[in-house]
Amino acid sequence: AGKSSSKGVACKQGRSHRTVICASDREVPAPAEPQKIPGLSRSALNEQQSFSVGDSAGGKNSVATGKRLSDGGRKSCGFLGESSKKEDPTTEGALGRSTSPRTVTLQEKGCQLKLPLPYRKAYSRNSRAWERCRLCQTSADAAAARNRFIERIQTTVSFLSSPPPSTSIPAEIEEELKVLQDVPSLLSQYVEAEPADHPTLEREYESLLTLEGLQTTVSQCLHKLQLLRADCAGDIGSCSPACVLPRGQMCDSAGILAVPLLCYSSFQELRDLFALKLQVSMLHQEIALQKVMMAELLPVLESRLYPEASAAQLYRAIYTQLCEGGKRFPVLVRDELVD
Amino acid sequence: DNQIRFVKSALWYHGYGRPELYRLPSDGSAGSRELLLAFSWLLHRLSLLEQLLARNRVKTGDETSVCTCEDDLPNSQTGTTKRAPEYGLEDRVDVRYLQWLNGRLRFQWRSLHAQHQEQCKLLHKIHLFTSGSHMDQTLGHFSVTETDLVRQPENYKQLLQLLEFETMQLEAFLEWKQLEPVYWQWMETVLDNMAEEGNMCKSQATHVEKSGLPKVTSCCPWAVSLTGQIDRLSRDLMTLRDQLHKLVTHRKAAWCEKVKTREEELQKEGFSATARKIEESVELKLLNLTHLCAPKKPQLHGSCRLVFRSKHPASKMGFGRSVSKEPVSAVSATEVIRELQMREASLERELKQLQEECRQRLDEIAEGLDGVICISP
Repeated sequence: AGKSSSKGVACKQGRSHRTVICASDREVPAPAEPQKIPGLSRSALNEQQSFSVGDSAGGKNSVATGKRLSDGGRKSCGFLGESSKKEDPTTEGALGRSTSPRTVTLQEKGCQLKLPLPYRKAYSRNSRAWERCRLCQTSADAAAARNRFIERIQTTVSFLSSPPPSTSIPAEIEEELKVLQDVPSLLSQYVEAEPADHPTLEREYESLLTLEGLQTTVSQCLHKLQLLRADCAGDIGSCSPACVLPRGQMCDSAGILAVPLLCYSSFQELRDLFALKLQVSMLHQEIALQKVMMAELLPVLESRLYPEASAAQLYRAIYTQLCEGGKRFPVLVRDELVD
Repeated sequence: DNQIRFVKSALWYHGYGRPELYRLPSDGSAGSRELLLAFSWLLHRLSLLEQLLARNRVKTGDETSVCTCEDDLPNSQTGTTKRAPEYGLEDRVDVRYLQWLNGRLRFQWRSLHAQHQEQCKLLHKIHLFTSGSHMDQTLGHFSVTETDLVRQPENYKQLLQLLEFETMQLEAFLEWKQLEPVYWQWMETVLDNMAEEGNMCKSQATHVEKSGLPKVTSCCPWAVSLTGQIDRLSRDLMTLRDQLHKLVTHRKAAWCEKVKTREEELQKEGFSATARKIEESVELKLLNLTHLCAPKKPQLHGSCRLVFRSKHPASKMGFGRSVSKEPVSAVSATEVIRELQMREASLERELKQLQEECRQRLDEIAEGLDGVICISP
């Protein structure tokens, strides 16, 4: 009875824990995020290890269940499913679910857990080293010598015909552009937030001033864009014809060695965060798809290369895809005059 | 050859100015000193060592990325060379296949969303239940990996090794910092040597091109894509500007009308004082806006460790204590969410504009279709 009930529990866990996995190796998947890969291979190795340990450990009566759980490639879920049978009192079992009398829930014991000593040592050595590196400053000599060197490199450039304008560095142009990307949408939100009617004279004055201020901001941004465009054109001359563009992600070097933490304060926040990240990623993809489809599908309609009979359906399908995101359909009505 | 071109374009991208580098032959046969100079320049300009250390950081936590920048999907740059089925007269693709694929994609997105939410639930549980156990106060709780580590420490030998290795790397970095002056002095001597040699064969370089490569007119893909973006944004802003212009003129006229008729009455009420206060508050409001428009504080690209910090001061997580040791770079989810919302709004706008463009073009096409009228939903 114990076995079957725990089996039931374990199976249920298996399903719900499918996604628990090493969140450390599976972030919100975006199409191209190369930095994920080292982590993935490392923890994939861990997953495999835990899987094989579960398998080969003879004495565990959970092996059978573990195996069943691990079907379908959900490798690392096995461990959480198996846990419900573990007799080790210091470790936790089913999260909040203990049908077996021996298991201890994470909920109860979680705050008393201790990481194993070797890990603790390694971890604290590691974080101390990081801290030292973060606080370490470039010595004055080094900074002086380095600046001299950099200056000299720059001066060898100045015998070119014209000194390059200040923002003609491609990386910086892109950075500036990135900043401006959300501006139109933000500004139009502000504009729309201003109501059409105002109860008092004061509110009306305030609204008017706000709108005027927004106007100035818009023209400032436009001006900036023009400058950027000019810089961009200036760079074309020195660009190499086969630009394999490296994505420069310039971070300020100041805080780069600090521990990167993302703090959330509530469960809802965490969920919103993930949901939004996925939404942004999806929108990127949708936009890319839209562009490709426009380039491919519209010419088909425009060139009339299709059999006449299916014209209407084709039009309808393409319309749905391109204009309504594939969700809603237009109505096509035959335009026939009955004489 | 590709490598060399990549290196040159990367250096150009970051603004490296020495023309000698760009003139190096593409087979890599010459120019090791130029490369050395370029490398040193990059070392400083990109904080190369620090970046490498940060990017390859051993991950013991639950990681998620913070930055909102995403590359264009790679295929969009290579042109339409890889079009699976050609729409010649022979083999066609049924548009219904396209619809089906699209439906599948949406389904995948939805299930991904569901899985993420499930993941959040479980992550949060683990964070909550293990609060107070971590020896690192700033973290306060375990990550999934660490929780598993407690139960099956034997599985994580490799993790420990990686941590140790990284510690050694960090110590090497500290040593480098000590020896840094020597390196830069050496680089200066390299420059000196090259300058000397350069003087000797000055007869060659009479005219100086900006780059040794043939001048490119407009086929620089980077510039094309960037100017495209700039144009799109400008168009957006210009429509906004026109819209605002109309709105403001209209409002201003109405306002002046109102004020004219009540001028003395307002004077009595001391309206000018109120007006000034209003002006100040509007300025403050707009200042906040320009702050949002301006370059933000250094963005973290790359992954961060998720940490749960409840706002309740009475929690027994040692939150009060950890505040004093709070690392400078802790990003709050609230900020990230706000930025993501802004990004989302912009992207939706862009998508809607594209859809609108399609609608117009399709309307034109519809005129050409005989006997059919299209009524949009």
